[in-house]
Amino acid sequence: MRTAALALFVALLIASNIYTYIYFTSLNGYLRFTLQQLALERKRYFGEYSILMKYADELQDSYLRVVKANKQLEEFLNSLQRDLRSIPYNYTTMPYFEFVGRYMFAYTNEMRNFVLNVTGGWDGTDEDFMSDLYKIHREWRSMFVPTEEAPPPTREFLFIHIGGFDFGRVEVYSLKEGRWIILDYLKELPFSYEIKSITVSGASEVFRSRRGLCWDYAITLVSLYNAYYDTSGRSLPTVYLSIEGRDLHHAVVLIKLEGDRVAIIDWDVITPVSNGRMGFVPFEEAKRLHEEYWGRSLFYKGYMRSRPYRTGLFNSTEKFYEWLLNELN
Amino acid sequence: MVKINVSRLLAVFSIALALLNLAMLACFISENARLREAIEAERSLYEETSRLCAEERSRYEELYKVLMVILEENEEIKEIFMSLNGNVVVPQNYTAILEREGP
Repeated sequence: MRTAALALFVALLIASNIYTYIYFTSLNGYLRFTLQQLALERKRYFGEYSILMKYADELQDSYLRVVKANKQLEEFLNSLQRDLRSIPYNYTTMPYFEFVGRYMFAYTNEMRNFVLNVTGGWDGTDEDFMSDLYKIHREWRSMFVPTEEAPPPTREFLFIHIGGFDFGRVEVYSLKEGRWIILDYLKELPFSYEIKSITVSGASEVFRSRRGLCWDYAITLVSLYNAYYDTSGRSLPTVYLSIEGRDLHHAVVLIKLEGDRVAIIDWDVITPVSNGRMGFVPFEEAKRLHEEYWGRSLFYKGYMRSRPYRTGLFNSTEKFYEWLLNELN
Repeated sequence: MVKINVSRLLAVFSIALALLNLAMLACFISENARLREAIEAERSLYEETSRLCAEERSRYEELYKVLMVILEENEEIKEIFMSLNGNVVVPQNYTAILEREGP
């Protein structure tokens, strides 16, 4: 009986040992796992923290570079604005090529009055319109004295010139986008800026001086025609053409009526003038007459037109003709 | 003789088992306590690191925003310079005649 009781007690002790072992082994295993997980998470955060510190240092450097650049640029800008404010008259600013394009063909009130005096205004008929076109050429030609050299431009304008732009680059990591971003910024103006005088030439100058090269004559004639079109309310596509031939570089005016019917105005009107009216003929005929006028073959090399200002070059007569038909409107 | 030996053997065995049980319990409890302490220490470090990381992230984002603002300012200054560069100063009395030549 006692032996049986002892055997039972031993069995209970064995069971207790096994239970204790299993319970604590699993509990401690869980604790070890938790510890391991925490350590891993801490390491991950630490890694992230170290990277953020490094990125933040780079970000700080970038920030300081841009701040320095901005400070210098603001000083330049303030200086430039001070200089512009000291200009002693009211003004606007306009990009150079836009200005040149507008100024070249711009007409003055004096030119408009000239056109009105010469034509007496348009009476609304085709005949009078063609007659006026011819009269404008005739009067302008009679006033204009061709010279060997272009008259020096007399009109001066101020021009804002910034010598150059030096750009820098910052590379920053965007946490939001999870990627590196490269951004350009204006680092400096290495050659500062200047406000200098430039001289320009245009129809208004030529009209006042009434002398110059074929170039001067032609752009002024285009400008006078523009003045007439504005006062009459009717217009035809009118352009300055540069032409080339043997020992010839020259400028003329072309007016398009419709299709390929044109009038070409050189020092004289090339296309037929009947009853004092500008005549329009197909381009082929106009070119033939023009070549007869100069006694050599001609090549229509390029054009300039206003409203808006446009220029172009042609590498063949076919290309010129294509432009005349399709683009000159 | 055999009967006495079995009883004693069981008694000795049960004493040994009881001692083993106690020793194992003590060992596991001590290990358990050590792990709990280690976990607490690790948790404390983890929380500190996590806090530092969050702070650094917040500082980074703040700095990033500031950088974007000054880059924006830089862009504005650049635009002003670009818009002024190559411009002609046109006196007001020329404006009217030049406007006629506009597109």
